[in-house]
Amino acid sequence: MHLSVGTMRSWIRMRGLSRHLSRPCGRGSVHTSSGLTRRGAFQSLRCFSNEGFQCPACGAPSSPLVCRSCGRLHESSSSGSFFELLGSSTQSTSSEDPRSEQYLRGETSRGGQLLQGRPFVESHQDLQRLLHPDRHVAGTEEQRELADSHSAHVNEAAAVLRSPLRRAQYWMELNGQKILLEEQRIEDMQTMMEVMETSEELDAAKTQSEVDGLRQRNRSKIESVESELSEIFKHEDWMTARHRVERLQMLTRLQERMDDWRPK
Amino acid sequence: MAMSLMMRRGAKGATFPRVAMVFRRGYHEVVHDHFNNPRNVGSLDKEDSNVGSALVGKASCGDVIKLQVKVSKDGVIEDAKFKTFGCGSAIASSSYATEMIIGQKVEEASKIKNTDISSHLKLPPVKIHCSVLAEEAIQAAIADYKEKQSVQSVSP
Repeated sequence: MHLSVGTMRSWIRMRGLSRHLSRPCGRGSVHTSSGLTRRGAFQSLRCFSNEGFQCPACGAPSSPLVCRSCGRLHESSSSGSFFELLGSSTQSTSSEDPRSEQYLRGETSRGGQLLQGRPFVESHQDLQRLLHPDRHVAGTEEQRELADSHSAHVNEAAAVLRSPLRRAQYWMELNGQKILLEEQRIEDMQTMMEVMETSEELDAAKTQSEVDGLRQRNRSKIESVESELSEIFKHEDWMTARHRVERLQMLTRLQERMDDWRPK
Repeated sequence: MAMSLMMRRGAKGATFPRVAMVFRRGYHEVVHDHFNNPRNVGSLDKEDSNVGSALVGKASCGDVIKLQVKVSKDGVIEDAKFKTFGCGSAIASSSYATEMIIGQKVEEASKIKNTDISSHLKLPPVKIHCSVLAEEAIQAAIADYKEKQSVQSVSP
């Protein structure tokens, strides 16, 4: 399966827990975190505020995972959602609804292709630089392990935000909407027929250029579902959103088949 | 992963060495056979009052099965056709489903359970859901046929 629903759910569970643990608090108060600590160990975590995390080692404003000033890695339980982790959370949003604004910022991946220079590409690369194992060779074993696990977390976040389908699903799950479940059936008859037809066209295709044509057409369908979704998410119309994501699911599957196509 | 990338290759039964190899590794020969030589691929005339059609799709994986049955006057399924957009197990499941129901009475066919399909194909536990969708396709096609018949008997 290209969709790791289980992984996503566990991230969300962690997030739910982490939100609880990182409630706004008085400067310097100490929280006991058991959310993300591995080996089941309890660890004290110093939390300063909800807005910005400060490095417990040097006191500088820091990403919850790693300090940009001193490079110290945090056993953090407050990295928030993937949107917060890689989105430009430091930029102020003037929107009335900053939450859907986060989704829109992620919207810049077009048909699954990341556009260079977008905020979350930059923060992904930025974070991966800070988490690079070379930077932590001299650190303690614990710090090296943190670098590894944070790095995996950041990559997972980037993979989710980069994929229109996974991003939409993740957004809905953050909003308490369980979708693409085993027992759910697709209700969108029109898309099912459409997908069947395209699938047959693909079966009948003989040349790469024919497939490229189909691919182009399919990609623009994915893009329009994406922009529809960002509108729908603003209004929190979850039923419509669910149907659109199911369409996105099928179109994504088609896209994968087209990408894998080889001349017979 | 490998499975999910494998789709229907059409009725011609063309084989693809790379795909076939992956298949042999994890799946039973019967699945392999139905995947490479799917039976009863195609369509029936959906306007025909003796034809019941179903289009069912699963949200979790995006698999879609279209299944149609043609029922004779004495209530026997004389023909069945399918088209599946999905993984190898979904194709094999729907292919075997059509094979099973042809020649059966409608009542008989509607009793088919997904386990009848999955045990014949020896599907691994993670692929059982593909046979569930095939079962639902049979049910939905029969329901559509019955509905058409009842509408017909009401309006002369």
